[in-house]
Amino acid sequence: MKAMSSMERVLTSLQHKEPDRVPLLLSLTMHGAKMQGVSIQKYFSSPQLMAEAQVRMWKKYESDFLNSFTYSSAEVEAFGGSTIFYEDGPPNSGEPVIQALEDIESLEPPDVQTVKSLMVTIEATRRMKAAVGEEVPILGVTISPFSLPVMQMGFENYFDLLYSDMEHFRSLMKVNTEFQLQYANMLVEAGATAIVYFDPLSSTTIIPRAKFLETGFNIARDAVKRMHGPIVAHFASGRILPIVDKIIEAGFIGVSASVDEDLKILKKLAGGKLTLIGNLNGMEMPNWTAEQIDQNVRSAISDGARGGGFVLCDNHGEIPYQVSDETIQGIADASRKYGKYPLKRT
Amino acid sequence: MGKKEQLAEELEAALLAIDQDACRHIIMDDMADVPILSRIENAIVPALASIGVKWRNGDVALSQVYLSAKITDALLEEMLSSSHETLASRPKVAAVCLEDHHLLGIHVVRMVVRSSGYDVVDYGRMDLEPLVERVCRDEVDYLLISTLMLRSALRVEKLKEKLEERKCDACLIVGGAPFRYDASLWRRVGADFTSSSPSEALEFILSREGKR
Repeated sequence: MKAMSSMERVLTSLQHKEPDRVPLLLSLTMHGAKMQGVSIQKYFSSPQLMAEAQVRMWKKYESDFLNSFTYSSAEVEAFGGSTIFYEDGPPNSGEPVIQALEDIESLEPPDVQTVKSLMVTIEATRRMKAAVGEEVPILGVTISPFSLPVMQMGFENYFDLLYSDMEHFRSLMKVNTEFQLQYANMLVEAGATAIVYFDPLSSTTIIPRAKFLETGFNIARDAVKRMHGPIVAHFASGRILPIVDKIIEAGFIGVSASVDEDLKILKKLAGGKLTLIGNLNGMEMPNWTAEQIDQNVRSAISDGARGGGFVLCDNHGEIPYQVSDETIQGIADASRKYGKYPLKRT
Repeated sequence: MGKKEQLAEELEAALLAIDQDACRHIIMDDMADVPILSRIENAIVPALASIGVKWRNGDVALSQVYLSAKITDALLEEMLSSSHETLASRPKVAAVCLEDHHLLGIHVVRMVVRSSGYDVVDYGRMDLEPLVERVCRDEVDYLLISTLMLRSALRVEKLKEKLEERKCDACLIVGGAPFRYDASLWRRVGADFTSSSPSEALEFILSREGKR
């Protein structure tokens, strides 16, 4: 088969057909800083450094996506929140901005154009698009309106709200939904090919299916309808088997697959309707040997890639800073070694 | 099924349904004549242990684990406030969120261990150096450490090293996503145990203390 461009490869797989080889998504964010020889904080404040590094990493590893994601708490900064940066790991969100329920009552959707960190992402997306055009898909990432409150008000306060005060919950969702929609559509306008709707709270690792149906599902379904462009749901290593039917119903075209769940079962449930993205264990990656890289890549491809509808990726949505260049290169090499269609029977 | 097992099962069902009134009824009314420590041992500990196993197996969600711990913690407070009984202050147990900003995990573990009758000092979020000072000063026997980020999990190695330099032999029990997704990480950073559920940490302490 003639070699495809990254865009052709990904689009073919999304149509549940077999491209030339399994598409590879390396969720590299902080590694761009390493490559550019700057701190993570400096890197995430420069659209130029980010765009350059994403293109360089795509060429170096021959992967199939660019990714304009910086860090989750950038979206909380829009609401007045702060971010704590580290030298060797992802930034953390600072003190919650919602300290009391009354704070929700006065909350308004922020204007994305006034948020410096988000405009860095928008501009980086634009530069990536200018660099690769239609050759490579660019992913834009937004935190779901439903999961954002974990950082806005703290995990415990949010659980308490979710189980005891639906009125304030709905008010918060209204504000977050407007904000998220505005940001997602700006990313698409800037050149993002697809939006990753990052919604770990909806995973059944975090809330049971019944609660998801009452809350996160309706919010996701509404968001998908109103967002421009194709949308992928990401649950950050969380389990999804009990809600796969609803993820399809909500209108997502793809979904993250966790290492906690059997890829073969997920593939069956996805039924040619959802592309699976996963499920390499990012936490273990820093210590993988060459044999383990080979084995894990081969196993994921064997379990998930037949017939297309599969993108090889880590299962958390961000490869840890501690994962070495050799390991990333090893994953990329193994994906080409074992991912050539038609797949060999194993 | 004996009466004790039945009450533990009923309590577990009520906890998973987040039915505070039903939980309160079981502990405060159905077991009104039972001494507090027996209520803890016969109903609360087994119910939370079973929920912990289900969490580990992916059969219950984190929200249910958190709210179960919160409900039992409140019931414990209520029982203690109306009696002369107190929580055991030895072994000395402390809980900390190491250099991360997500306190949920450590609060759940603290509540579950407290619900077994051990007092737990909540250190909240701490950086490494002040934590070493505090653990040594408080003569901590068990330090429950929660991390969310890999970088924080890797800091446990430094913590262990610093504690050893100070001749402090606190038992380090680690938990959180990095340890759950990398089964050998706890050994590599020098921890004494890892628990994939709050009740597993409790079982480890109980077992070390010779109560099982």
